[in-house]
Amino acid sequence: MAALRAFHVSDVPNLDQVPEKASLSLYSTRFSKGVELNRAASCRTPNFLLIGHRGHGMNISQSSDSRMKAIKENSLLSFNSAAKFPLDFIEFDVQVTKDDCPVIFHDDVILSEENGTIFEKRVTELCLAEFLCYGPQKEAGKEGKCLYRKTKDGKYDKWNVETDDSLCTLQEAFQKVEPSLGFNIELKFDDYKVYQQDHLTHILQVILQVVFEFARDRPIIFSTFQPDAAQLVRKLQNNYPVFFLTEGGTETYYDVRRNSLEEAMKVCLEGGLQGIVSEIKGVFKDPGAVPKIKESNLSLITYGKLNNVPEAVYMQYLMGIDGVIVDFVEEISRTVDGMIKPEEAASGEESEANSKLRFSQKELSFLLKLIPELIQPH
Amino acid sequence: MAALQAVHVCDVPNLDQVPENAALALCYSRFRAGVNGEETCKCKIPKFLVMGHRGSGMNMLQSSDPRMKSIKENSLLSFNEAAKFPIDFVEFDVQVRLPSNVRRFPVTKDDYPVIYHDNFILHEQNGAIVENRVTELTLAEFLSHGPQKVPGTVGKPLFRRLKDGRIFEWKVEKDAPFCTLEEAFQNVDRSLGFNIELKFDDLVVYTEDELSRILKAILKVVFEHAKGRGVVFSSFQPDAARLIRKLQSTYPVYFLTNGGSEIYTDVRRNSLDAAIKLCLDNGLHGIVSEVKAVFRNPGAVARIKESKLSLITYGQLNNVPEVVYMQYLMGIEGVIVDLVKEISETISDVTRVEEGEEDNLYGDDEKMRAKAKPQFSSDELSFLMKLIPELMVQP
Repeated sequence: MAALRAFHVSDVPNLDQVPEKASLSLYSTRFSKGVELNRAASCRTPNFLLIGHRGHGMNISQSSDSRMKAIKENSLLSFNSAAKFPLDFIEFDVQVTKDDCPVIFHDDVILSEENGTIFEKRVTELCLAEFLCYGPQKEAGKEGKCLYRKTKDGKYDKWNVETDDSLCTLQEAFQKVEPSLGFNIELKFDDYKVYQQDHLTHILQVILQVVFEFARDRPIIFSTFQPDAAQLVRKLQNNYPVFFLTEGGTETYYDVRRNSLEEAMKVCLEGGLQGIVSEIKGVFKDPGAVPKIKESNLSLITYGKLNNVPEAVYMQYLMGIDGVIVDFVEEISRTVDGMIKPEEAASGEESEANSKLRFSQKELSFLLKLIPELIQPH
Repeated sequence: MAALQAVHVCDVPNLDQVPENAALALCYSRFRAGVNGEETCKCKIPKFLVMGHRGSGMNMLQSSDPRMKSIKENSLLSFNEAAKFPIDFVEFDVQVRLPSNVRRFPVTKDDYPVIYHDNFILHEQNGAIVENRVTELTLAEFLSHGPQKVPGTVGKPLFRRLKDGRIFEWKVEKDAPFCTLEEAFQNVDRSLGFNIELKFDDLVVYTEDELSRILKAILKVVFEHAKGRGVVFSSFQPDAARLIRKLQSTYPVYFLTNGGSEIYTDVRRNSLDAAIKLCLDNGLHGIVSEVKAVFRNPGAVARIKESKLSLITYGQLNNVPEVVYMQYLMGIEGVIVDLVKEISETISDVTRVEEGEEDNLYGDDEKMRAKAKPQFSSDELSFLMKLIPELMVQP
C-alpha cells in the first residue's frame, strides 16, 4: 500500500475544488524515512497501527491505576508525551464552539463548581474565550475554573490528574505537536441530538478549514460515530481517510446504523469510507466479521479497555486487524516491539520464528471459537 | 497412584464402623475395553472426568435450545440416557424430608432421600399455583407430582419457578416420574458413578443435629445400595461438606462453590481461596467450582493443585467444547456438563487416546483424531492464561 501523504493548503484553494483522491492509505510514514515507499506493499504482514487514545490515554480520576490519571487527556502535554513513543497516530475529540472555533474536548458538557453547586455547560454553547476559562490557564497568575467531571456512578468529582495542562484548540494542536505524529480527529457530536444536513455541513467545514490550513504533511484520519457526518466529511473532502466509529453491537441506538458491525460496513460501502473503528468487544464477540470487513476492502481499527491488555492486542494482530487505539501507550508499544515486530521480521525473511507465540491456523481457529463465548455473559 | 477399589457393602456393616482410609471408588474404566474387547479395568483414575448435570442435562424452560428441555432432569430416564455416552458420573441433587422436631422422632421411612433440585416444588390446582417446600412433603406427596409410574394414573401438573420469579409449566420432550435415591441405585446402569449433591436451602440456618440427621439418612441408603458403584459427595453447604466427611471416609467429598460470583454471609462460600481452606481444614477431596470463577483467576488452579486437591467445574460455559478443552489443558480434572452427548464425544477423542498411549490401545486413526485438536505450547498456554481473565471482565 502506498504511503499516505497530506495535501498542501496550496493544492486545495477552497473546499469546492478538492482534487481527485491520491492515496488514501493508512500507514503513516512516520518511521519509514529512508526506506522505499513501497516497503509496506512488499510486506506480507501489514503494518499494525498504534494510536494513543486522547493522546497519552484517557483520564479516569477515580481509577486505582495511576496511568489513568497521570497526564490531562486531550491536551498538548498529553499529545507531546505520546509522541515520545513509537505511535503512528494520536486520537482526540474535536467540537466546535458557538463562535466557530474547533476545540479539543471529549465530553459534551463541561463542569465546574462554585459555592457548592455544580455548573454544567454544553461545550458547543460556549464561545472560545469562555471555554478556555476552564482548567489551568496559560497566563501566569491567572486562575481558571476548576474542572469537574461526572463519575461512572453519577456523582461529581474534581478532575484531578498528576500533571495537568490547559485546554487547547485544534489549531494549536497542529502548530505545537510533534509534526510527524498523525492525528486521528474524532468529530464529536451529541449522541441524542438530530442534526440537520446544513448544520452538519457548517460544523464540518469549520473543522476542515483549520485542517487544510495547518495540517501540512501531517497524516490525518477522520472518524466519527455520527453516520451522516461520516458520509458528509467524505463527500466534502477526498484527501484524508474517513472511518466510521461504532460500538459494534455492544450498545443499541435509535439510529440502527450504529447498532452492529454489519450496519457499519453498509455505512462505509455506501459512503465510500475507508474503514471502521469498532469497540474491541464487538469484534471479539463476532470474529467472523473481520474477514468480511477485509474482503470489502475496508480497514478495521479497534478501541476499548481490552486494548490495554497486551495479549488482546497481539490476538488482534494475528486476526489481521489493522490497528488499535490504546490508553497504556508505553506498555502497548512494548508489546508491539516485543511480540509483533519479531513476528513481522520472521515472516518477512521466511526464517524460523523467533517468536514463541506462533499460533498455528488450527490454534487460531480454536481461539476464535473460544473468545466469543468468554466475552458473552452466560 | 494406587488402584482404587470400591468398598463392598459387607465391609461396612453400619455407619459407625466405616474403615479408616477405605479405598475410594473413583475410577471409571467404563469404556476401556482392550484390543480383544475384554475389560481391562486397571482402575486408573481417568485424567479428565465428564459428569452429566442432573443426568442428561438440566432443564432450562426459558431456553430456545430444545436440548435444554429434552429429558426430564434428575430422573431415572435422564440418568440411563446419559449412561449411553462416554461419561464417568451423573450429578444429581438429593434432599431429605425433615420433620419439624428432629430430636423426638427416630428416622422413619419418610426420611427417604429424594432426587430433586429446587427447594420448592410447584403444581397447579383449581387454576392456582400451589408451592410446597420439598422437605416438608411426605414421600407420597412428593411422588404425586408429575408423571406417575403406574400407567393410567395422572400426577399433579408440574410447574417451576425460575430465579427471576417467572413461573413456567414444566414441559419437556421426554418426561419421566420423580424418584428416590434408592431407586437410582437400583435402576441406573451400574457402571455409572453418582456425584450426589447434598442439597440445602441457602437461606436456612441448619443446626448440627439437623444436618447430621439428614446426612445419616442419605448415608444409610448409600451404604445399603451403592455396591460397587463409584460415589462422590458434594455440597455448597460448608458444614454439610465438613460433616459428611466426618461421618464417613469411604467416598470422596467435594466442596461446591461459585468462587465469588455471589457473596454470602458465610464467608467460606465467597472465594476459591476460602474453598481451599475449608477443604484443607477438613480433609475434603477437592473443589467443584463455577467455571467462570476459575477462568477469572487461573492462578487459583495452581494453588489448588499444590494443596493436593482435585478441581472439577460446572456452569453454562462447560457446554462449549473449546472451553472444556482449555480446562483439560489447564490440568482441571473434570467438568459437569448439560450437553452430555456433544461434550463427551468431543473430549473422549483426546483424553482416552492420551490415557491409552502407554498401553498402545489405539490405532492411527484415533490418534489422528486426537492430534486434530490444537496443541498449544507452554508459552502459548501462559499467554492464554493472561488473556482469558481479561476477556471475562463483564462491563
